[in-house]
Amino acid sequence: MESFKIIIDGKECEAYPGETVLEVAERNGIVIPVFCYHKELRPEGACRVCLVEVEGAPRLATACTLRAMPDMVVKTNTERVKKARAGVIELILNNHTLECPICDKAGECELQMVGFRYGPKKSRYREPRREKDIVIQGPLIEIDNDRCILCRRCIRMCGENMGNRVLGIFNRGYKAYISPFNGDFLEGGCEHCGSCIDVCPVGSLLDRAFKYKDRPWRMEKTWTTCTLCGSGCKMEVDTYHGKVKRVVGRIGINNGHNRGYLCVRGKWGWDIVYSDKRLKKPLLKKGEELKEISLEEALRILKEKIEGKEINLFLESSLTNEELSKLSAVFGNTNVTSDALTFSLAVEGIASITGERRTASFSSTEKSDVVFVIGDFIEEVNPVIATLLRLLVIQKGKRLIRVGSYPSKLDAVAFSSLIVSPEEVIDLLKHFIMGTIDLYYSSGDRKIDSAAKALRNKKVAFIIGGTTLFSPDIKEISQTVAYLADRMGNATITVIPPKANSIGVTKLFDLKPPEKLKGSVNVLVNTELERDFPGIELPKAEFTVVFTPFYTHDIAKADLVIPIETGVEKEGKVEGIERTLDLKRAVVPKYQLTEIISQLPYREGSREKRELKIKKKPGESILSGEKGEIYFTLLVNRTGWNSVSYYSGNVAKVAGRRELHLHPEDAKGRKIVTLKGEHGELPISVVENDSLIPGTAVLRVERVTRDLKGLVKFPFTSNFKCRIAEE
Amino acid sequence: MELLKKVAFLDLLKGMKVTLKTMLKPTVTVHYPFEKVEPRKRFRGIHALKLNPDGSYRCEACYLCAEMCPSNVIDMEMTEGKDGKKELVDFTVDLTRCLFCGLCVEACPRDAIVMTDIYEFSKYSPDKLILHKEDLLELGRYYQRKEREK
Repeated sequence: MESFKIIIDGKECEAYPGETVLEVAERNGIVIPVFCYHKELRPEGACRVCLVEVEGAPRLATACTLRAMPDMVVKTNTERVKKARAGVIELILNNHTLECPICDKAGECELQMVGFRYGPKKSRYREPRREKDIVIQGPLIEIDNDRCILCRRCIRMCGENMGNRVLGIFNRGYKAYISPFNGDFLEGGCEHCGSCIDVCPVGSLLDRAFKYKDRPWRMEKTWTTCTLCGSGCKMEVDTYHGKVKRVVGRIGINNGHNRGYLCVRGKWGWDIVYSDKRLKKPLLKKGEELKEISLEEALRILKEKIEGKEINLFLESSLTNEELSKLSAVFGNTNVTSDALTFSLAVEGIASITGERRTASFSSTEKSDVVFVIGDFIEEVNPVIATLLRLLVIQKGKRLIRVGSYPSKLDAVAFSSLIVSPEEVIDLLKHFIMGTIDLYYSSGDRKIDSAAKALRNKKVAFIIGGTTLFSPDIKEISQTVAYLADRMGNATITVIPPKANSIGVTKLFDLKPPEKLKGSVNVLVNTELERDFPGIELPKAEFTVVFTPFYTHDIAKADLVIPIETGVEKEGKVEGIERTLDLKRAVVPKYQLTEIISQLPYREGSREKRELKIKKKPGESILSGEKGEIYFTLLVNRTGWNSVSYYSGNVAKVAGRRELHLHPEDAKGRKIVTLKGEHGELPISVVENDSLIPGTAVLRVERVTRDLKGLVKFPFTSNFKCRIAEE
Repeated sequence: MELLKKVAFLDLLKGMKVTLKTMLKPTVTVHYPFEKVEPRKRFRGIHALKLNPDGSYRCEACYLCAEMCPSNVIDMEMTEGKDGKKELVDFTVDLTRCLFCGLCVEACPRDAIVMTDIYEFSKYSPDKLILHKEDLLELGRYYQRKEREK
């Protein structure tokens, strides 16, 4: 793009077509006060505080909406501008309660900062201020409307960037106030991502978990990475006297790949550290009971029991690289299983075409023209990645094509969303293989043809993620995608890891299914068998050691239990979706896994060389359904992923329900049905959902419990075949 | 002349000049532990937290006094009360470090923290010199009683 010159305050600045005066000024270090403008939001011009004088124009103009034009002469600090600015701030402050001493935003409040610098020294108004009139209290978010300056940042953030449209302005003029529709956050469909709180320039939208808990400026700030899912979001943890007070994303300031966007787990899941289910001391089984022992004794027993034994290692893939390498050095790396097994299958599938066991980082989407997403429920498993994909479309203008078997939130912004039965996904991808090469190929479906046309001669970023990663077909799907990408030449493939360090686990270990483990001692690290290995029985062993931060159900099966750290207590590095991500310790834990493991003797490891067979051909679906069978996906809710809502008091307040979504054709008006799987059955209440395609069902659960054992079997939890029992 | 000096003890009188001058005036010296000095009106003694007439405390835990403090004396913990108001969990004043400059009193937007006229607060162990919320409220009651007497 060709740049041109504009003059701001006598300084010659370089501007590009399409830029606003405010953006040019910001880049050149000229400060213009703003309230309603935000880097991540569409400019609106609601607050009028960014008024500037343009030579030749009769009136003052708002810098945030004024496009820069060649030879423009802009002045930002003339007497006229200063007077207008002070007038605007005087009007805003006229109806803003003066409760800075108790307001949680004081210290990082934009109205405070702008008011002190540019505001009038005295107010001429004597009218009474708005009292505490409308306060809307949700489970996690509170709106104090007396502090609101009606900049509409929260509304734009919620409606446009997050795509939820929960908040809105009600009434007009003096009585205008912000509220979720229906006045209730949960009913309004709020996802509790906390972005509205983050962008609020005043203390109107508040984090209820933090309300009146501390003062913003006195807390210690630690930038760390969230480990509660594979998005690997960078976030700021605020602590005071070694106690976590809140987590903020700082949209617009954050330089991580998530750009400050968080989800309910990242924003409010920090209190898993203070969960009442935390383990306090090591436990040892004596007879039928577990007795508390000291760590030294526990280590002594552990050393004795594992000496010279083959060990079955059960890993949860949120562990850091440091922890994983120590674990492999102490417990060996031959008999290892992990919940990243399906992820490793996806990587295997890609490697069978490309010859390399690696995937592209998320930033590769920035350089592409079209984003091709193969995955369902990315917005539940990795909510922030779904938000970023949405922003790629609405901010960067990229095209998004989605292939899946279930409806998704991303369909609202997708150029084309192709929803087909799980067994047809690979066939659909094969149409693309043909359609992108052969100009005259027709699949017989106009929708597929137009999507294939959109891919031709474009840079494409393929993204595989969501519950598709847990489909039995995953290896075949990723192989087909890799084949498609290989044929197109100019394409990258990213697999969204479901857990924080899925990539690290697959790199370091040769994962095996749990049935193939041959060791005689079970070591479970950070896992919960029901959650990470549903439908799997622990292999028979002479001794079982559990490393866990919480009291889990596995403790009953353990002979020795050792507590470890979790959440914001972790330190190290993880292989995230955006290369290596840093974890900084915000709180110092009592027991640290790396320290405990370091005291055990290392063993001579022998690493088998992993073989890689390259066969350049697309995959074949292994799914096949009979009549009367439906494909069902076990979907852990956004709040319940990684058992966050089970351990965190904050997130539990907004936890979802357990319900089965069925197409009306399959539901046939029934309120409760019995699902029959291969090994068991489950009665469950039904929600009719006509956005699903017939023959598919979604079982939404908050937590994977024991009664789901008969329906799913590790490692696959999605696209499982089952029947609905006829009454 | 020399003789006169010797006869009249002039040197002695000279030496006793001050004594003779002040011996009939009232005494100024205070026998401290047994006698006490009334502090001046604006004397800055140890801190206190004032109370409202209904018995609740005035402090809103805004942390401005602690922010003003040059020697990091004040610390507080706050939370959301049952009625939705801001509640003070603990308010600590570390007298071992305090230099009684009175900046905290000036910073307070609610006129909650004040300085009493108490200057005797030596203790046998340093941790007793850290005042907590309850101690400060007790001192506040004492301060308000004194104010009323005036």
